[in-house]
Amino acid sequence: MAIDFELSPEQRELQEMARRFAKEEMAPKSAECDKKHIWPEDIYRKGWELGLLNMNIPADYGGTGLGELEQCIIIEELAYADGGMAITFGVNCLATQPIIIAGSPEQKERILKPFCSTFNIGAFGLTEPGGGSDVAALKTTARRDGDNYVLDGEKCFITSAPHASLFTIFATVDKSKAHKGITAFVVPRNTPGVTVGKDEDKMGQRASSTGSIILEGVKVPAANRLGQEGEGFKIAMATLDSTRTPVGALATGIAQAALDHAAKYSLQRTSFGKPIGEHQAIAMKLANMVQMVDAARLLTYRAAWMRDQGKISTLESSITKCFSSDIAMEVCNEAIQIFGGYGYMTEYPVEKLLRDAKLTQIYEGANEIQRLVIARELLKRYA
Amino acid sequence: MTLNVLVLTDQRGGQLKRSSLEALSEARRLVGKAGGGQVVAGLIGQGLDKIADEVKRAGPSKVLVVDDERLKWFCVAAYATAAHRLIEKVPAPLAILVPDTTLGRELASRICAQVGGSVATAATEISVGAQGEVVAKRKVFGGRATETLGLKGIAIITLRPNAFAVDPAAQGDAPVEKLPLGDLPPAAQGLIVESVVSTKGDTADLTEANIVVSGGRGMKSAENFVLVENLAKVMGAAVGASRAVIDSGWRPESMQVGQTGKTIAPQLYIAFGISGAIQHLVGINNSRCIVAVNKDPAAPIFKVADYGVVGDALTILPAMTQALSKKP
Amino acid sequence: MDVVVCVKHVPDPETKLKVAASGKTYDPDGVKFTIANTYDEATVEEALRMKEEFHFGAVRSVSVGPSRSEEGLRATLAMGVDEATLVETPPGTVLDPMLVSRILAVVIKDMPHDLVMVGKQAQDDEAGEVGSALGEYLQLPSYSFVTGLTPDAASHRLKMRRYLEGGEEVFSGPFPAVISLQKGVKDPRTPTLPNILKARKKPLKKIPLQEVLSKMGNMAGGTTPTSDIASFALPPPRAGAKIIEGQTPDEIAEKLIKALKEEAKVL
Repeated sequence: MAIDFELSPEQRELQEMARRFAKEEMAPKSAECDKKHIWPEDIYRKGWELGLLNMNIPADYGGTGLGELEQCIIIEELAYADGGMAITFGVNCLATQPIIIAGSPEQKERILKPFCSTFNIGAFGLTEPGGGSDVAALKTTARRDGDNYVLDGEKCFITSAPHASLFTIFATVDKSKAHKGITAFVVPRNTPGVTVGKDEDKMGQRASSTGSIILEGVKVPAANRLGQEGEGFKIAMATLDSTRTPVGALATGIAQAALDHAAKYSLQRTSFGKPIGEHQAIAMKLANMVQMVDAARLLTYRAAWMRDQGKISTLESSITKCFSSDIAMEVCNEAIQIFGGYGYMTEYPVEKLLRDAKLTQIYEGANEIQRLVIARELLKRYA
Repeated sequence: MTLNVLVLTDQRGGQLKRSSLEALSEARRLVGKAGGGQVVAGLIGQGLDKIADEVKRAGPSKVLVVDDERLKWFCVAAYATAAHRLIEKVPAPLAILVPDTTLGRELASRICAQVGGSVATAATEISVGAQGEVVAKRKVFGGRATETLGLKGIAIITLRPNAFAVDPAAQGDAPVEKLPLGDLPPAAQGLIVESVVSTKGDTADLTEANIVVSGGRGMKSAENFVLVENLAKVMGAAVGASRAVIDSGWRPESMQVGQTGKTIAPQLYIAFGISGAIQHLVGINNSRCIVAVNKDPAAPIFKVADYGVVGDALTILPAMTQALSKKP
Repeated sequence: MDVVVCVKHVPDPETKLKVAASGKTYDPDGVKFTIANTYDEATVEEALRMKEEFHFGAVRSVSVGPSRSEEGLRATLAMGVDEATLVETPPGTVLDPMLVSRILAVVIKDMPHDLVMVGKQAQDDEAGEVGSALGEYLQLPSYSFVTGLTPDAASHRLKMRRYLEGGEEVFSGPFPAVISLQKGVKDPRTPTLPNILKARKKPLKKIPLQEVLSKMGNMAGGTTPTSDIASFALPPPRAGAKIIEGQTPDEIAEKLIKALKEEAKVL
């Protein structure tokens, strides 16, 4: 009996805990944070106290040390309540994963332990105004100067930057070497020369904060370099490998919320003498929606399981992220349609879900890049 | 078949609780259904002469009293021992009825553990089966289901207050017999009550209240909304409001009931001047009993209500408040 | 000084119920079970407060039920309870609260138990019988509807508040005792993820029901339930409002109140 489609009792407990936290702490504040663009620090703090904030960091350093499947189960539950809050929890993993992948034991001890022992937010600084998908063309420079590196450049659209105390920054030590010059650094926020831009006003996921990081002559000790010079690109890609599937889980959570709202509404709203769910036009939509959400979840579990088994899962995680984010958009769009005029009103919860879903197609590797990766990996099998 | 029924009255605080009279009336009805038996009232406490006087006129054929200094304060183990003294005097087949007050609920299962038998708490209906067995009906799962329990041996039942009618014709002049308490086991000793703090007048929390009364657009003004609050006061109910009331600024958001407000599931929900838009219904459709008062006979709320009044909330409200204030 | 908390694994209050084929209980298929009965959660929290604030020793949890009840006990371990015990009932076992109390008494007699704590009632049967019955079977004082609890180790007494109709009583009594909790002082803590993971390593003992029944001796009531559920029913779906009519508002009001009192029995 190899495949088991049931969660283990322990996974169910983790799921139940996340579900309760989402329902009791996150959901009641979701609409307000969206409307007023509030970053709910108290919710993130509570999440930190409960171990939701540093799920990827091993317990030895004060994190929760969960496998990828458990992280996905939890992120889906959190995203069900609010996508913006869920991504904030997820981005702490994104920010610290480079340290876990490439950090020395000394670096892990020195950096991760204090990070986990008090409430800290981290941010992953890769994207620049001049390049998102085209990572190799990044322009932030790192110039060696004795025992330090001096960083200059600008990162933008960095989730959690406005509230982060720690950044992992990717800069090039030699532009001529393209991606082979990229190097990873850990940069504390309070380093002189670091300026963080304002919290950008976004279409959705407004409970998360997004901003620029400007680096002007920022002196970073060489002891904060992760791995060797030129290994940064590999570290960044390996990091994104680990967060791609959880983003799929996040999109699935948003889609599930939209489906639940639409299905319940279909039973209560009547037209032409019966609940609208009994009309074929709506029934067809709901049938399509549940197929998509169900498939997205199964893809997520499969990709996460592979990674936890130590298997290469580049193709499967790309499929997951691409599919889940695309269907999230479609499911949310249909949900609004099912609500009709009410769906368009901000008083109703569904239009926010569409606005939250959109970003999942863009960040963590835009879906166009995902498709290139998928095609490339697919064709490898026939070569 | 016969059935003897012992009714343990609740006079905690010095006054005979109405639910004790309900239990006495039900006891008489049960004996009638069983085809014979005696109704015995059992009083436990201290300084009970006045209460005994009241109870003996309320219909039992006999009143037994355990009146002892050691029973001044309610200690469940001591009261159970006292109840045992009473039980020894009433032959089987025996049912024991107790009001489902905090005292009654606490006492029932302790008695059962001492003397053997069976328990049903918060019964809303009691009957006697063909073989003389006692059967109790009660609500379970937060009122979402009903179970019917067959009880073996001495059937100890606590009665939900207000679920059983008091027989106005019940009267009599029963003999009163005092019984000694005897020794108390160690578990029944050492309890000391220092003070009682009254909390009457607190507004019940909307989501935990048993009864909620709400007002909507049909209340016409913020001033008129006071009528809803007056009714709530005499009913011991919490007060809710529909979206329209909140949007008009008549009452604070914390009182809103409905999809974007609070979801509630009280035993009784009365909506005054609320049309029943789906957003409101979503917040209340788990209520056990829904009553709607609205001028518009086509108001959607009548589809989900159990009882409806097609009329002006502004006249029905004061009429109900008055009617309920007249209760003893 | 040690604490024992009794918990029950019950269906989630929001889960849909269906009547089982027997007509005597709910169909457990498809029912979502909550991790812990709400009152039990508050009780576990209160027990942990005894340990943390008042330096009691170990807190142990006990449950009686089918194998799925293990989940509920794991949740108590995740909250911080030290050890859990499940009296496992085979499928098809019928219990009633009095029998459960006797089972608990047999098991608890063999544990250190300075305080035995139970929740006011279970969310499913809402019987509220175990607290007092367990006190009697253990021959200990029992205190119910407790809303506040302060132990004094030196005098071996508890200072408590208990909820009454229209008020609260401030009282004290000796322990060892059984406490049935109406409300705790703090909101139940959410188990942290690390604690959920650690809970897997804490001891969870399983005792077969038959073993406990064989030790029951001659407790009043014996090894079988004394009440049996003759039927379990869900209310029929709403049929539309019964309109109350009258010539005057007063007449309508009287009629409505009467219907609510005598027919619906909600007043």
